[in-house]
Amino acid sequence: MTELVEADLLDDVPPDVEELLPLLPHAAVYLQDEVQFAFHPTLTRVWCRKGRRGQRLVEAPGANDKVYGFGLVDGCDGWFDGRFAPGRTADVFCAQVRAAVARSRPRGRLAIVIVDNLHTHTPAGSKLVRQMLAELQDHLRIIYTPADDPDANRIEWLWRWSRREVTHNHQRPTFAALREDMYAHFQTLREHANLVLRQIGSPFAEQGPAAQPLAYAA
Amino acid sequence: MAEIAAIVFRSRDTVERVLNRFLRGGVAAIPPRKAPGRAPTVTPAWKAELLRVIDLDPHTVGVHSANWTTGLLALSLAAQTRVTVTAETVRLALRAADYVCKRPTWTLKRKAEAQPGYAGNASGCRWYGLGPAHRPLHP
Repeated sequence: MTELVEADLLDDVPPDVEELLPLLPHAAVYLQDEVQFAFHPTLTRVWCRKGRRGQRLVEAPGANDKVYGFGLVDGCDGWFDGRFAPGRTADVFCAQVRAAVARSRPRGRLAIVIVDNLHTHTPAGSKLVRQMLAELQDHLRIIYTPADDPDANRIEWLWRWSRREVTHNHQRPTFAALREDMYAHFQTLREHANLVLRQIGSPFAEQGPAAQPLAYAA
Repeated sequence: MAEIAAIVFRSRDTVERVLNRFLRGGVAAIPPRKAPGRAPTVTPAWKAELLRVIDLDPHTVGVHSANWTTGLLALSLAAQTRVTVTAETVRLALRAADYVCKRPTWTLKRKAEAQPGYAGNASGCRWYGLGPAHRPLHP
């Protein structure tokens, strides 16, 4: 531990790090989070003509339908599991974590999943999570990030790409059309593991020119 | 030479250069020549296509994104016009065409048009000069 952390910062190191470090060589580290896709577009800067008359108009749909995307990324190889649900419920979360465990077990690896403190992720807030942790205690470790600290979970960086590709300033007239965009976007994430790794700033991403520069355009 | 330069408001070097061209090629050699250097990569057709697609939803031209970025524009235009440029070239072309990167604003045009008697920004009325009580809640 003293090789990794400056001596004056040792007191800030969480107590479970000592226990987790020896597990890493035989573990797969997954990052999990949810993202809300709403029909009401999110706004961001876009190319438009100078002056007030040139300002682009984005249609406000009135009814704000929404759906939640569940994402889970392997921080080493970029494998992505994406699901959709009407709410951030424990059943979808557990199914996703079980998928990560099912992927890691045949490889003889422990699944370490980093998640935020949403109550449906915690054993205190969800019976399903309690059951899952008891059932998979030898194959799964869930690490909770500090409260109100999105930077602690790098999958948050992935949603910036999703916003840009799906929800920012979108011009879809129906929620069904927007939903198709979401599915297509998650499929893109599944197919471009290295781009996912680069987007979340993983040290395991292959560097060099982007094979698919669309996601990184300024 | 210096006297001529003062009369025509040019430098002495310029006068000397033009004079030398006259001596070598006569009157025909005097008009300004095309500036040396590489021809620009972008073509008028590329610029026209850029200004056409920038106002469209990227999905309508087969790009799976809700927003245009300079990188997306460069790729899309390369496929359509066979002119390959960088994102920076696209940015410079947009700036030259008086485009800026700015936050859009909301409109309820489609929803409001479904209501009878709607009048708002879509008709060009800005409601200037009227008091707050006369302005529509959603222009």
